[in-house]
Formats: sequence, C-alpha cells, structure tokens
Amino acid sequence: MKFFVSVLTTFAILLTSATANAAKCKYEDDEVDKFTNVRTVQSKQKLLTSMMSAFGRAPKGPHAVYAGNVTAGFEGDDYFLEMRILVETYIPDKPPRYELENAIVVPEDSHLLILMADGNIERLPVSRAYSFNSEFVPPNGPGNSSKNDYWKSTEAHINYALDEHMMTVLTSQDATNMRIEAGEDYYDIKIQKKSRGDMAEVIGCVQQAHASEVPVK
Amino acid sequence: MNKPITFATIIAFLVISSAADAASCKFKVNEVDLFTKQKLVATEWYSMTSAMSSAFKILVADRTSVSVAAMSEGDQNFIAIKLKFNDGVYNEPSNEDMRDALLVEKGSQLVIILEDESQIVLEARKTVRGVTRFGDVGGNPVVESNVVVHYPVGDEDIEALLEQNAGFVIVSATAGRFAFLDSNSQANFKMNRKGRDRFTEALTCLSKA
Repeated sequence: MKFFVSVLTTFAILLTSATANAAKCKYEDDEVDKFTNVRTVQSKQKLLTSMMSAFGRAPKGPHAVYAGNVTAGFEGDDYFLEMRILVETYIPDKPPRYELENAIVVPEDSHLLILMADGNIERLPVSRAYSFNSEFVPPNGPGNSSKNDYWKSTEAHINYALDEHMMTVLTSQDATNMRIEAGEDYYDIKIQKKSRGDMAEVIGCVQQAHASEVPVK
Repeated sequence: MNKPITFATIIAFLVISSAADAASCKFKVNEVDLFTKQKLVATEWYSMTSAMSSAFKILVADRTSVSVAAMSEGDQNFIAIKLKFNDGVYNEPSNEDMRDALLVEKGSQLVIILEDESQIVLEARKTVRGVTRFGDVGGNPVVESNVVVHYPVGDEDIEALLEQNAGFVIVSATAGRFAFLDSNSQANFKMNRKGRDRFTEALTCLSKA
C-alpha cells in the first residue's frame, strides 16, 4: 500500500510541476506563412524593469530606460531575442519636428550587451539597422500626467540574432543588466531582482515551441 | 603646553579645511561603468557667467550663457562646455530652420587663450546638434538653442590650465539663419574672475575624484 501511495504522490508531483512549467510559457504569436510555409513563434514579453518607475521613481539620465521588456522567438530555424524599450522625458516646450525624427538610431554593427550573474558580458549582434521616431503629448493630454510639461517618448523594438551556443549560455544563469548600443548613444536596463531569470525563461519557451509540432497558441 | 595646542590646532584646521575642500566638489557622476569597467566622473556644471552680468543680460533679454564641467572616462579627460544662445525672430521658424540652428561638428575647435596669450586648442569629440526651441522672452518671440560639447583634453593642457588663468574661450560651430555666432562662425567668451575660478574648480575637482 505504502509503495502504491508513494508512486501516486510522485506521479502527482510530476504532473503538477509539468503543468506549472507549461503554464509559464505564454506566446503572443504562432503562425505558419501560407506562401513560404515558414513557422513564426514569439513568446509573450516579460517586463524587466521595476514597476516602481510608474510611481515617480523612474530611472534618470540620458541613458535610462523607463520600461524594458524582453521576448524571444524564431522564424523557421532562426532564433531571435527582441528588446522592447520605452525612453521618455518631460520637457517644458513643444519639441520641433526634427527632434522627433530618428530619435533612436541603431546601426547595423550594434550589439545588445548582457551582464550575466557571474560577471561575464555576452554580446548579441543586432539583426538589422533600426530607426525610431519620438512622439509627444501636450500638458494634460492623454497619458501625460503633467500639467505644465510635454511628455516626449520613444518606443523601440529591436531584434538580436541568437545562435544555439548563445542560447545555451543565456539560459544557464540569470542576467542582471543590459545595454542597448545605439550609435554613439546607449540605453541601460537594470533588471529587477525577480525578473533576472526572465530572459532565460522566454528563450527556453521558444526552444520548447520549436521542438513541438503542435501549435503553442 | 602652548606648543602642543598650536600643533593640534594646525592639524585640526588642516583636516577641516581639506574636508571642506573635498565636500565643495560636487559630482554628477562618480561610478564605474558596469560594461566598460571604466571609471566615469563628471563634475556639476559651473556657470561662467557672473551674477551681475546675468542680471544685466536678463534686463536686455539676452539669454546667452556658458557653463563648464570636467569629465573623465577611464584615463581620458574631457572639458564639457554648455552653451545657450538666443535670437529674436518675427515669426515661428520652419522645422528646417530649427534643425539647422546650431551644429557643432566632430573636430570643431575650442580655443582657450591663457593669460600669457598662449593657446590651448581642443577638438569636439563628436557631432552635436543644438536643442532648439521657439518661445518668448518678455513678450518678444525668440529662438533659443542649447548645446553640450565634449572636448578631449590631455594632462599637459590640464596642468597649463591649472597653472595660469584662462582669459578667453572661443567655440567654433555652424549656425543657421539665427545670429548666434560671429562672422567667423565662432562664439567668444571673455572670462571674468568668477568664470576663471569655476573653470579651475571643475578641473581641480576632476583630479580629486
């Protein structure tokens, strides 16, 4: 009887943990192109930066990122890591149009630098060149909590190529900080403690989806 | 008994004055970069415009100003200059006029003329475009442009700047249709005593970081 109970318990634990693991992986995209027959899968994004920034404790300085998210995916057999960042500032005067154009430029030879928990720095090459424009909201406008200042923000989604070796390295431990190179500029993300395993998690999820022939979404 | 007291007083005075000196250096940045492992230091901005001249400038609606900071990235030191220009206009300028209002190209010169008339010539680290705004000062429409330029500076030049006072600062730039610069595409600033002191203060603070 004892043996039967312990087998049942072990089976129950295994089942529960497997379910929990599967529940962890969420996807925002899984489709097969009708013409090329190439399957594209992308995990749901994970917020890396602290939500405290939403309560007036936003990181300051020219290189600070207000919100940084990470997601991973693949297109056919090509894996990628995607960084989604929001850079914002409050300014007293209406910004001229030229200042909104090409606010963040990421040239082709740029990298994403990832500081791992053991102190090593990994470098991922950007998939292509990018350029992003800014938007502004006047004082008291939608989404702008300031009565006096214009809210200027730039949202950037940047893809970085991942190979098998890099996926093994990045999933082996936590990451603590990231730097997005953007020409002579850069943007830094300090990963909050509870999100330090999130990059490894989203990579693991897309690897799992790649191995599965059943659609994950 | 007198002697030990005097000695102790001198020591105490020295300790207090050196602490006060160190405390007077305010740094905006004083940290090691996580990725490059280089030490990054940047002093606060020191305005080189005296209070009197600032008051006069406000009276005549002239908001031109110049500030200085000292910075370092690893072994490389920089002098940073923050310039503000303004010019009266009749109508709101076009986007192109605003974009081309002020540009400091990589390699543009900063000339510092010392008291003995010798010159220190520095070159801008990278191309910087001015941040230009259209607004009004006392009901008069104006265009205002701000720019921050970093100039790499060697140890010899820093020593020379600490040894004797700077008299003039000349910044070369490219201006669009607004009267920010003279006919040689330069802005000249005569340093007053306060400006000189602040220039020296910024460089001294850098060496203490």
